[in-house]
Amino acid sequence: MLVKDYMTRHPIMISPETPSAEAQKMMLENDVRHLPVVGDGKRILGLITRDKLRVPPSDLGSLNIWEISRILSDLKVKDMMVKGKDLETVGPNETLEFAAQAMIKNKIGCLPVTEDGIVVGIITEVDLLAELSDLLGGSVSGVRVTIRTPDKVGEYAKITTAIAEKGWGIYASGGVRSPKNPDTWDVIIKVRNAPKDELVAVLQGIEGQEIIDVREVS
Amino acid sequence: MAVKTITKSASGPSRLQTFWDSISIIFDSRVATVGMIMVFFWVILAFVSLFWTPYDPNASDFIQNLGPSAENWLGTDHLGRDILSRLMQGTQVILLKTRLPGDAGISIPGGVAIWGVLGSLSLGTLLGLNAGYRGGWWDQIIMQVLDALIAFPRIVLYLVVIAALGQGDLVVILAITITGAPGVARLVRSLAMDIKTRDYIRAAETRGENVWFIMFREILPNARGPLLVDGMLRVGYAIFAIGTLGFLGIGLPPPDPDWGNMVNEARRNIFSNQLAVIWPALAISTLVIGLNLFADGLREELTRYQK
Amino acid sequence: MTELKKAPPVLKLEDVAVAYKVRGGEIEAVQDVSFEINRGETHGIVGESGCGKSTVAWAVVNFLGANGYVKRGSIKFQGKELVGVTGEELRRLRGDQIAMVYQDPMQALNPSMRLGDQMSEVLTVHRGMAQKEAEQRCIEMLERVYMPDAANVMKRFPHQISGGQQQRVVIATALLNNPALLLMDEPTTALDVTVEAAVLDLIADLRREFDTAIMYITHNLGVVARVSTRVGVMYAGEMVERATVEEIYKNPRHPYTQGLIRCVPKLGADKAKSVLYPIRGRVPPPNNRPAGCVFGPRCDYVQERCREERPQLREFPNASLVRCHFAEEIVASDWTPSEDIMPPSITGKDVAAETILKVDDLKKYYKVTGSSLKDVIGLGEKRYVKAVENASFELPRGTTLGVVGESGCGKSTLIKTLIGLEDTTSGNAKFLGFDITNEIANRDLSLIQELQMVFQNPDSTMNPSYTVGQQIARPMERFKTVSKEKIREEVIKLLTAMRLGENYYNRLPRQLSGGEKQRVGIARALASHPDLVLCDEPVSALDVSVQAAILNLLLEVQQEFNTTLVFIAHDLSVVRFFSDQVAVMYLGQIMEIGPADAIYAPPYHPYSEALLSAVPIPDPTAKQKHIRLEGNVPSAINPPSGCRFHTRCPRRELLPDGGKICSQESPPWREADDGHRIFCHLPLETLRTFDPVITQLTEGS
Repeated sequence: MLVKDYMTRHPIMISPETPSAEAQKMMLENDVRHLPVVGDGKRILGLITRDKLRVPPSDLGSLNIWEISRILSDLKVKDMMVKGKDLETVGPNETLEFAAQAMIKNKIGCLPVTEDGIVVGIITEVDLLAELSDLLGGSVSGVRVTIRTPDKVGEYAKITTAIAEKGWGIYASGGVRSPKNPDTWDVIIKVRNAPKDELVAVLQGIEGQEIIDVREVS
Repeated sequence: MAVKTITKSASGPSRLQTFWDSISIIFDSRVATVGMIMVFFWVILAFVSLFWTPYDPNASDFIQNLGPSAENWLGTDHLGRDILSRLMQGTQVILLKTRLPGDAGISIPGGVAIWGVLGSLSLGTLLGLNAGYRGGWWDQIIMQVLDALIAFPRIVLYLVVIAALGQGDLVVILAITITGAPGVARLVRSLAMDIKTRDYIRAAETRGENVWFIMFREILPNARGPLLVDGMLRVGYAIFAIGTLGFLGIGLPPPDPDWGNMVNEARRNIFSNQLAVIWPALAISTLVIGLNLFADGLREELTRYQK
Repeated sequence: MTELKKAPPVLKLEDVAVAYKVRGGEIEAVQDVSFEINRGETHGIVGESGCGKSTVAWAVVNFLGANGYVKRGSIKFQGKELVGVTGEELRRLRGDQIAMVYQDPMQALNPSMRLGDQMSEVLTVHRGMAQKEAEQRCIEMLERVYMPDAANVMKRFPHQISGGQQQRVVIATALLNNPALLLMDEPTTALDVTVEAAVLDLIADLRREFDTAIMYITHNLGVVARVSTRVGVMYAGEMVERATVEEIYKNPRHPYTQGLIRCVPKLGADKAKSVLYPIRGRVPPPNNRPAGCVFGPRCDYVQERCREERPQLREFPNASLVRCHFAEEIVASDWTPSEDIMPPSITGKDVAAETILKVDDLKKYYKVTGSSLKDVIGLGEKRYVKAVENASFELPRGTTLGVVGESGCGKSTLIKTLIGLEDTTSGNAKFLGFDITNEIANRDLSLIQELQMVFQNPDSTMNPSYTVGQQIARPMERFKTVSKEKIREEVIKLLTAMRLGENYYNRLPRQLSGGEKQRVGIARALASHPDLVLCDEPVSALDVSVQAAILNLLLEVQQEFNTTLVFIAHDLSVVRFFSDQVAVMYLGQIMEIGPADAIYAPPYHPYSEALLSAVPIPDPTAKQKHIRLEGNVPSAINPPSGCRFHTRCPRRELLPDGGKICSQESPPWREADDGHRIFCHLPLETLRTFDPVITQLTEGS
């Protein structure tokens, strides 16, 4: 579950001298929202996003129409990209959580993945969302159960033992502190090959734990 | 299955067509065409001179050292002979006829330059094929001997041959043959060494063909192209050589003019008549350049679309 | 990993046409090619010579030479248009993002630079890396491509490593900058089968790890089945079919694809099913393509509409694209061969026929002339290349012996010794009762006449200065088999037997295609009606569809003239249906010999087993064992002691003591039934327990 497992390798990249109009066209044609800007040897120089390509009207207010066109046509990506200290990147061997935190902290949707300053991939919020979905069992069919357990050692093991004894498989699992109750812990599991009612019966048999939500996903 | 009447093959090219195909390559190259024109100019002049020259080349009919005039287009030399006529006659011995020794005055067709080149091509091919195809000791010995020959300065070699055998057209032919053979042998040897790796030579060997058959009937026809081009260049060298010999005074015997000794004689009077030196020198250079251009252009065309 | 994300394709070609300017106009080498390659996908492009597949690759990197250009269409790489890109931008693309691997590794490697220097150049120039760090990276990459002793290899020159290793270096160099697209143009064609298998494994590995998009060009249907996810079939400059690899083999829809699959030898099938059907006709030259469908003249299903209207690529189920008007109506399994390509039936051979060739313990050693001073004088230690060691076999009249082995195994030397181009070092060889251990020069003319040879390379097998008729007539003249007046008639008879018309009599070799030249070569060998014909890889240099025709021709000839054949090949699948006996050679030694069917089923010699598991099979669903040999073929100057195969034998541990006996003693011959002999220390019962190498082949036409 490292960045290199979920990143898109060989992302579409552009050179800093590319005119902004062309960058926009490329984004549109290829349906991407972020383009790393690279120099020789795929060395990262900056990042251009759809937002960055929009010139705020307030900047243009004082110019007349000819100047606006001229400036717009002369604008190159290097003039508009995120660069230097503002540019956040992540290494391929970092954890996905690290990448997620970086995105949250900086309110950005994309991180170029670099190794020694060379671009090796790109990871976006969509990739992280894909991971989230996979972790919770994605679109695989099975029974999805959310169980609230006390914040004690050994609670998780009770669940897994109970399920293993019945010969069922846990396809995916996630655990998080209960959103509204800091003393308890919510465990979400996706179970395969288990009829819903039987599963519920088994889980209800575990002491101290409460089933909050159960649904079948197909 | 019995064969009916032998139908004319519709798909093999006719002889005339193949001939024209080979010739037309010349016209594809501007360089070769220019060269050819220059050479033909002299060849035609040589043929014409067999029947007619403006004046008798050896007759001292005019005032000496005149410049070009309506009477003598190229002027006269230090003995009052018409230079143009001498130039024209000079082409004969180079290109058209070789005089046999003895006083009978018989000549065989083909000039000294031509025979000399043919000689060096023949001798060189013989040696080169044997060295290239047989390899081993044959190769070593032949090549060492030829290397030794090459090491001699050409002029020295000429002098040696002529000193030993005296003057005369045949001697010059022999000298050109001996000095030209090593270069040809080198070329043929490397061609043979390349060609002998081909499977059709193996096929001939598996038929038990004898060595001479393989060399002359299997290898040689495929070496035609480069040999032809080389041969033409050699005619140029031969003319040059004849010119040099003439200049040194040991070439073709007087009084028949030969461009080399024309230059030599005129040199002595260079202060009074510069043009007399220039005309024969120009003749030599244009003919040699023409041959070079022709050979060069041909080679370029032949190898243009090859892999 | 969720499948919902869809990234744009790395490479997308749309209606690309490439033209070359030639004397007097221009030729469209490639027309209307469209396909795309995604990350982590390998797109195979299959076609025969002259179909334009390499041109497509060169067009992508703008490598078309001074007179080629992309006439129409667009080539988009990573969303960016490539057509028209030049100069600095192109240089950067070629270095950073697109890499190319060629057939001949020596084309990519500089022979005068050390490997380490060449490889690190990529990093120091394109990435501005420091030399030391670049070298470290190179060593890591070499280890990734399973190069043994990587640090030492860096210090060597290209000629000091083997072909397979050179190709690995080239692949490693290509991957150093982590390119998004890798173009591979027949990268394994020049390699031995076992080395090829290892390199193909490597490519699959690397693709998974680096997620590179790969365009793999080849003419070998087996290789394509092994490496690709999607396949495009090209014919005469057009893409005629494009589908997933399973679909192409299970359900080919275009008649050309169907024809190709029919003429490729399949390894697992039994002998009766491995008949090959060639495709009639020739590939049209680029300046003379037929109007309408370009495959029309050779198609079994051609109709009026095909001659007039050029078909477009149409979509079919399972994401296939086919360029044919009638693809829905063609049912491949209903196809029957027409008269002119019907192969001869393989009637039972009379194996009790007299033995015409008996070889006993034949040895051929070449003296190695050293270059040190001692060697020149003659005092140096004498070393020999032990090219053929103890070859023994018998050949009944009218049968075929197939000899298979990789480069350096001695099969060519064996043939050259038999025919007399080389002399024998020791041993006996009797042909028709006469001794043939001497060179040709010492043999009787009547003996030479009975023993002739067909050569490998069709381009050099004919003398370019003489016509076809002259060359076929020459053996007749030489051996005086026919009187002078009758020669022409005889030559035309032979030409007809070769399925060439009378009008070939006056043609020159440069007017013939590769297949036609090879037929003339066979005619020439048969001109004197020899009893034994030795064939040195006669079909290796030919296209697949032509191979089938020549092989069938040889079979016919054999039946008509009752000629005995010795057939050398490096491809086990080719000799299979064609031979009565097969011999497998390794490093000068015959390792296994026996009836053809026996070789392809257990008991196997471990080397035969490894060979069979390395051959790429043109069927992606076939299950094939995965045995790979480690190391390189040892040098023949210093072959391993005992059994020559012991250094690489994967079955050695089955013997006590880790197979110590294999390095000490020469193995015995194990006799299985029917003349099947195996040269191995392993006892026959153990050999019989091996599983068959290939199972689960789909039934196909």
